[in-house]
Parts: sequence; C-alpha cells; structure tokens
Amino acid sequence: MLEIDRLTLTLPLGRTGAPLPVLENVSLAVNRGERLGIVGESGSGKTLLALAILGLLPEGARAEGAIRFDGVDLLRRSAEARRAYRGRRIGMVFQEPMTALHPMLTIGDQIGEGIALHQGLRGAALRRAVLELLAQVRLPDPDRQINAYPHALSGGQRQRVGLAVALSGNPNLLIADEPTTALDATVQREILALLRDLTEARGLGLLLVSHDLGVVAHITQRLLVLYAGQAVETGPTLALLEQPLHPYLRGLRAAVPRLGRALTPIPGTLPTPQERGPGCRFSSRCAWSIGPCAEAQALRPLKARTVACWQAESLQACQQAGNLQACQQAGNLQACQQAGGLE
Amino acid sequence: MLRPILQRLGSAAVTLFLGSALLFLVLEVLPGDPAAVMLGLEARPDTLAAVRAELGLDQPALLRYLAWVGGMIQGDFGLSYTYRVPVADLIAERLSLTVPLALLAILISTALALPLGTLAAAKHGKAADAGVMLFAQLGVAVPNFWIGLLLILLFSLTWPLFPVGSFPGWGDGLLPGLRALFLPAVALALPQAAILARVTRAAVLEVMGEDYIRTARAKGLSNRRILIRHALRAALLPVITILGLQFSFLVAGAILVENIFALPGLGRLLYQAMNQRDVIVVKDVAMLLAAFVILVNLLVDLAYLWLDPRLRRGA
Repeated sequence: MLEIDRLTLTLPLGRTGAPLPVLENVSLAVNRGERLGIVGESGSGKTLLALAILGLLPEGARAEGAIRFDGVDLLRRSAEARRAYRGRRIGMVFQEPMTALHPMLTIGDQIGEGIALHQGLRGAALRRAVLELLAQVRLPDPDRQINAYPHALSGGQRQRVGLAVALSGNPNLLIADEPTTALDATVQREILALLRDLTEARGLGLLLVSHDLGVVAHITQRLLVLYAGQAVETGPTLALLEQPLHPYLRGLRAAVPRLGRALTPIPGTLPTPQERGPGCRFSSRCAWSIGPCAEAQALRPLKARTVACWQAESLQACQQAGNLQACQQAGNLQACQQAGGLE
Repeated sequence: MLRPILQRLGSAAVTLFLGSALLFLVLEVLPGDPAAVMLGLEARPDTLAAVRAELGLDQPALLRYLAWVGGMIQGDFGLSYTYRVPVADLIAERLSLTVPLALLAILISTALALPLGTLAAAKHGKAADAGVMLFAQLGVAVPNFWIGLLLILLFSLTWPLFPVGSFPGWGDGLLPGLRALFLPAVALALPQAAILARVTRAAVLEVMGEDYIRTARAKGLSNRRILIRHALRAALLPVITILGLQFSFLVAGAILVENIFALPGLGRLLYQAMNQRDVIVVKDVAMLLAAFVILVNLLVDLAYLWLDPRLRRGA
C-alpha cells in the first residue's frame, strides 16, 4: 500500500539557507494489516519522514525519490490532490496529546469534523458515528465526554481522542508519531494495546515512529532503524532486537533500562545535519570503528534483513562465538570471524 | 461557570469605584471655582457664598463625593452650572448620537480588520500581505481628525455623498441618521482597523504554528476551513483584548471627531463643558465614559469565558 523509494529530504539548514539533507535514500514499505516500526533518536529524521508521507513538511523542505500510495507517487501530485489523501487514506496520531487538540473545540466537534468531511455524515447520524468511534478507542463515558473540551481530559484520554481523530476519515494507513512518549507507563501499555487491536480489527497498515525500542517491540512486525537521516538496519522486529547487527542498534539495545542490569548509554551525540560527513555517521560513537568506516555504508542484505555496516558479518560471528566483549577490547573482529566462522 | 462571572463583575465594580474616586479627586484639586466662573470677577463675596451654598460647594469633600455618587446611582446627575438643566437630560440627548457613532465605528473597524488581518496571515510574505501591512502602516500613522477632514473634503464637498455638520436625529428612521454618522465613524474606525488588522495578522500567524493546526491539516481539512474555524477562533482572544483597549481610544477620538464634524454628541458636550468650567457636566460625562470603558472591558472578559473553555473553571 505505502511504498517509499529512496526518499531524500532536504531542509534549508545550511549557512545562507543552503539545503542540507535530513533524510537520505530511505526506502520502506507498509502493506495493509502490517505494522512497521521506525526507530531512532531525536533528530534522526523520523518525524519528518512521517510528515513527508502526509505532505505536511515545513516550508522550504524538498523531497526527492518517490512516496507511492497504492501505486500513485504522492510527490508528483498537486497540493490539493495530496489533501485528499490526508485523513481519508492516511491518518496520523501525534506525539503531544496536550497540544495536538484544539483547546476551544469540543472533542465531539474535532472528531465529527473529520467524519463529516470524509464520510459526509450530518446531524444525528454524525453524532452516532462520533460516539461509535469514541467507544472504539475505549474512551470512558462517551455520551458525556463527547461535549467535553480537551483540557478536561487526562493525557491518556486525549491520546484516545487523538486516535479517534486520526481514524475519523476511515483511513487505510495509520501513522503514529511517538504516540505514547508523553504518557505514563501504564497508560502507554493501554494505548499501544489499543493501537494494535484497532489496526488488527480494521486491517490497517501502521507506521509507528518511536525512539523507544520497548514500544516498537510490543506491536510491530518489522523495524527500520534510522541514524542521522539514514537507514542503518531493517528486518523483522524480533530478530533485530534479539540479535542486533549494526553497532548503533546494539547500542540502543544496551541503552534500554532493565531491572538488575546497568544501563549502558551510547557515548557522544547524534551529528546534526551540519556535522554530517561522507562516511558512516555512527563511526564517531562506535566501539568497532576502524578503516573502511570513513566510506559511505550502504544497506546490504544479510540473511532476512538489511544492514549498513561493513563489519556486520564479523559482529555476528563474534556474537555467535560468545566473545564479543573480548573482541571489542582487542579491537579485532576479523580474528573472531575466522575463529568462530560464519556459516 | 457562575463563579468566574461573579469574579469579573466584582472586579468591574471595584474599578468603577476607584475610577469615580480618582475623577472626583482630580477635579477637586484643579483650580477654578465654578461659582466664581458663573458670577464673573466682579461678584460680591456674599453672592458668591450664596451660590456656593446653593451648589453645595460649601460641604466637606467626602459628603459631596457621596452625594454625587449616590445621585448618579439613582439617575440624578445634578444640574448643569451653565445651562441650568438636569445633566441627565443633556447626556441622554447626546448619547443617542455618540453610542450609535461608537458602535458603527467598531463595526466598521472589525469588519475591515478581521478579514484583512486573516488574509494577510494566509498570504504571509506575498503581495496581499504587503498591501494589508501598507494600509495598516498608513492607518496607524495618520490621525483620525486628519482623516475626518479629508473625508469631509472628498465625500461632502467634492462629491456631496454625505451630509456634514448636521445630525437629523432618529425621528425619520434609521437611514438619514446612519448617513450622517457614516463619515465620522469611518474617520474613527480607520486608525483602529489598522492596529486591529496588524494584531489579527500576528495572532493568526502565531496560531498557524500550533500543533492543533497540524492536526487539522492531517485531518484533510481545507486551508480555508483551517484558517477560519481553527486558527481565527484561537486568534480571537488577543484580538478581542485589543478591541476592548481600543474602546477607550475610541471615546477620546469621538471628542475630536464630533468637533470636526460639528456633531452634537457626548464628546462635544464634554469639550464645551470643559471650556465653560461646568464641572458637574465634566464630572458626569467623564464618569459615564469611564463606566462605558469598564463595561466594555467586562464584556471582553465575558467573551473570553465564552470563547475559551479553559477559563470557565474560575481562578
């Protein structure tokens, strides 16, 4: 259904507004009923990717490549034609439930507006449809809450309303940008469960954008890891999380807080678009960085996934040999690969 | 919902009290004895004393203040020193001109400013935006009495479309009266519309950057609907605030404009009363104008409550 082909996005961030790439050659695909997670730190370009699909990029942004929805390249369509996709084909849930809803309109109005526009309902039928949707997102007491303003709702309830707004046009694809980041841990779980149930029940495709591996692990089937505007690893969610091959994903994995284990943060910070060079962008923070890291790393297939690291095989071998730590200290992965062997 | 309304009513009452006390004090300190002005320089001391007693000027200040406020509350505004008629009658006659004039001016000003400001924000950085901003710049720079003179010159003398210097009253229906008030209302409205258009433009531009506008876009709504239903609604709060503030300038402007157009309104009454040291008329009219401004600000506060549900819970 959604197919992104080598999408490159530039923003006028350079000196005197020169365009700098914030996303480079990113490709992905989401089919109906499929849930894809996009993971990366703040600044990796994941939110811009979501906005590019909707055609809501900030002024001055330029997109190259292709964003195909059911075969139609959205980047080649007029602004008005793209609007027809928003809400009706592609719905979006935003990160901040506090600010993403209009403070002066009732939630019934905000949901009903989408239903009226896309499904042409009016009056009592519209009200029934809004109540139905509120029940589907499991908002308690919809008969009363339909007339409530957002400030009267809790964060979790507002995100349910945000989800109802995203579904009001009955779309085929749902994009959720950090939908649970602003919420308490228990509420997070409920919202994630709701997302999974709703996409399953409606057969929707889901593009879940998050910086949190725990969140994507919960409900996505496939994963795309973004680092500094480039995809560094893609594949089935479980396989990637159990055996990350790209050093960045390994670092992310180690940085997930878990009981009874010290948290290992990734040293350094994400390079900004102004700081990005031609080579592997993670190399300055990578424990295995040597030699060819100064050259650009393209995604290449490895087993069921794709990775953009020339040492991925060695890493995998060391991992299988069980002496990754020792190899890292010796700075010698090739030795490991020869000793352990790659099947 | 009731509590915040009562809070605002209470604060309006306090402002009204403070305003009346301040006004009374200022006129008390100002030089010029009304009795002396009425009788002239040659007046005999005992006549002077008699007149002062008749006007109640020999009473202590606090008593006179209480008598004044008490009288106003009961609708007794006292007697004009110069005309020897009840001030209430003088004011009532003038109100039938000034209130419609002010309302018409506000109507013209908002009817110009809201669409122009919103248009400028929607066409941010384009020719329409530049045009509106140029109009706004001119409107702010040019004083209303000058606009008034220009309007008289153009639309009463060169092309005699509107009458000038006469007000037919409301006896012959709405139209002749409105026609007489149109040019002065435009003169009053233009500078206000200029400021209001700028405020509207800035407010709409700011709101357009909000997250909930992005949500509205993601819903697939048209730009027009987003602008009017989502952005303008939120932008109305600052716009109404400025509108309330502008009302006091409108009152001040009416004094000038009524004089230029020779309209027998409240502003002209105040102006003449000041020249004649008719302190009681000055005091009453000024108090009435202050009460208008306070009332309008109360209405602005109530409009806030109506527009923004977040404020309805009370402070």
